[in-house]
Amino acid sequence: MNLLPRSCGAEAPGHPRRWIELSDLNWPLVFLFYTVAGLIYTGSDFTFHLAETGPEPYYYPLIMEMTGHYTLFALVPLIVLGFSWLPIRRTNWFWAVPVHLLISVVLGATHTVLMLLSRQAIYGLFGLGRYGFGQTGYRFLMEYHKQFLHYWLFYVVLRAIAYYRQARERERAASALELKTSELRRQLDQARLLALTSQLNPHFLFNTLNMVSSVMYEDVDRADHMLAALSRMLRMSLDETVGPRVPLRRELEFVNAAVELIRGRFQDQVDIDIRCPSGLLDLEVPSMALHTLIENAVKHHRRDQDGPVRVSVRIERTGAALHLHVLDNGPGIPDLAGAVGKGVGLANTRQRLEALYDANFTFELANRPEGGLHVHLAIPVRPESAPQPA
Amino acid sequence: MKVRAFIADDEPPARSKIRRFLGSRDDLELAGEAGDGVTAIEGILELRPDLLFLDIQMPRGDGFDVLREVYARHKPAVIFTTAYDQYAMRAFEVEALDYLLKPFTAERFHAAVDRALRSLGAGGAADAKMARLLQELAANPVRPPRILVRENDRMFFLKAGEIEWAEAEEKYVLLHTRERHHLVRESLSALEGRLSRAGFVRIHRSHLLNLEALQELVTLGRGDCIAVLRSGTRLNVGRNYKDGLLQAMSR
Repeated sequence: MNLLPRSCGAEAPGHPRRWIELSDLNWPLVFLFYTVAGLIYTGSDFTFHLAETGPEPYYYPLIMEMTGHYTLFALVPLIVLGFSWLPIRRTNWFWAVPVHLLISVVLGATHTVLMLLSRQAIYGLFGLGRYGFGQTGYRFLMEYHKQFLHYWLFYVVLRAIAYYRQARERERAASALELKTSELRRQLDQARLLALTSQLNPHFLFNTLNMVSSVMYEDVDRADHMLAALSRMLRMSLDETVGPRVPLRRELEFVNAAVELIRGRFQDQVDIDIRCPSGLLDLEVPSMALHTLIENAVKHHRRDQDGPVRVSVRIERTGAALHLHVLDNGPGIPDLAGAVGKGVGLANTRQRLEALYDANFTFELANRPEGGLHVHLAIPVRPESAPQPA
Repeated sequence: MKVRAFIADDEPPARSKIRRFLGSRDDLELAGEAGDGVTAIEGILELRPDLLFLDIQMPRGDGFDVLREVYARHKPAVIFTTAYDQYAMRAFEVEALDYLLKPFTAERFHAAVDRALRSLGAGGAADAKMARLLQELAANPVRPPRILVRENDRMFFLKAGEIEWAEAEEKYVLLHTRERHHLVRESLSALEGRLSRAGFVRIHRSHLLNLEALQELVTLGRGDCIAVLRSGTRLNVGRNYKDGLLQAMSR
């Protein structure tokens, strides 16, 4: 029994995403970039010396530039984290930019220290003598010019990466939305189609006409009666103002006309008994649902094996649910588990119910212990259509 | 001598209308009537009518089921009657078989009967048409096939889906359903021909399996294989049939 609305599953919480995160960068590529940049600067340095002071061993510029670039690379994660923690926005730039300037000074100094230490270590390792770094204060200031530029250029790169990522996500969300929209449209089309096919079935119509044409020879009054019942059904099924849901009163009018005609066709072989408290007649039911269930019971009956068809329809209300029970004395369904999927009539009914009530309905089949099938349909009572009984 | 007619239709008024029209002719007499498929088969085989009015939609075996069971043993002239069955109507059109659309007029009825009586004299051609119709129905079934079971004093149709597996027993086949088994006089190959489109696969010289009933395939040593059914039954899979089974399972 499921008359409660489906709970909407919340997304897994997790921490909120920052505008840029370490994982947004392709780190091998970043490493490659600093390597290449270091090598290019080495070449530039080397040729600078050729132009200015004459040849010089290649390893001096190589050591200078590679230590410079790799120590810079080592600090890149800190730059990313800094911008990640303190994004610069239109609302906070007047204090965020100074903070970042401060960070760039600290990181720059760290970078300079790392450069000096690594160069001293390498000079010592290869016996190149002592690495002289000249006037320490000016050295830091000289490096900071470049570090300042690097810091803000890197900010531009991060903005570009974040922009690209967001654009791709929007695109993905848009295509997901499009998929959902087309799925909804398909379902709507299908519901319309089902509504159409739920009209009077031609097999019923022509067999009834044949019955009337036969009765005509024997009992003109009765034939007249039958034609009137058939007209009632036709009129109702041709009524285009009818939606997928109709008041029970109307559905029963339709069903009663159908039952009269079925009795005419199968005579004493059918016995259909419908009981509905008059207080429920204004509640809405899916149009043709009851009719389909009764038709099904008659259709699957093995007349001479099960005796005359006995169909009993009981309608009741409990709280916010309207229950329709259709019981027959037919063969039941041997393989109940697979039945709802297989039988076209039952599958159609279930699909229509899904289209109308989402998951807020019950559609159960059970074999009755005394033989026959018990179909139980429970649907929510729509508040606007159902004044609560006083 | 009068031509003897049989009416198979599940609706009493429909039968009474044909009865009335028959009564107005002095070259026809009513041999019997039936309200469902199985009763029709019994009646036709017993009474051997010359002319059959056959409704398509009936409980316990439809018109085509009746025809398939009856036609091998008795070949009456057949006039199909149907209220609305597009598939059947198309099949009749293709074979130029006569059929009456309900409700039909007396004129249309008599014209069909006259044609049928003429064909009774001619023989041959109508049989060939009917054979082709049956072939066509077997090749393109409108619904899962049903197997007619005769048991002591009763007959009934078993839906293909109810059969878990079938076992060859000399000239017979034993159909195993969940609860019991039924003996039918038919060869396993003939049965395979009728059921292969309904998901049945030959897994052994003498076993035919409904894939729906298959739980799992257990491989033993040396490539031997056992099919375990949902009901717990274990069946040997013949070596020559294993590949076919695997193919069918992966489909």
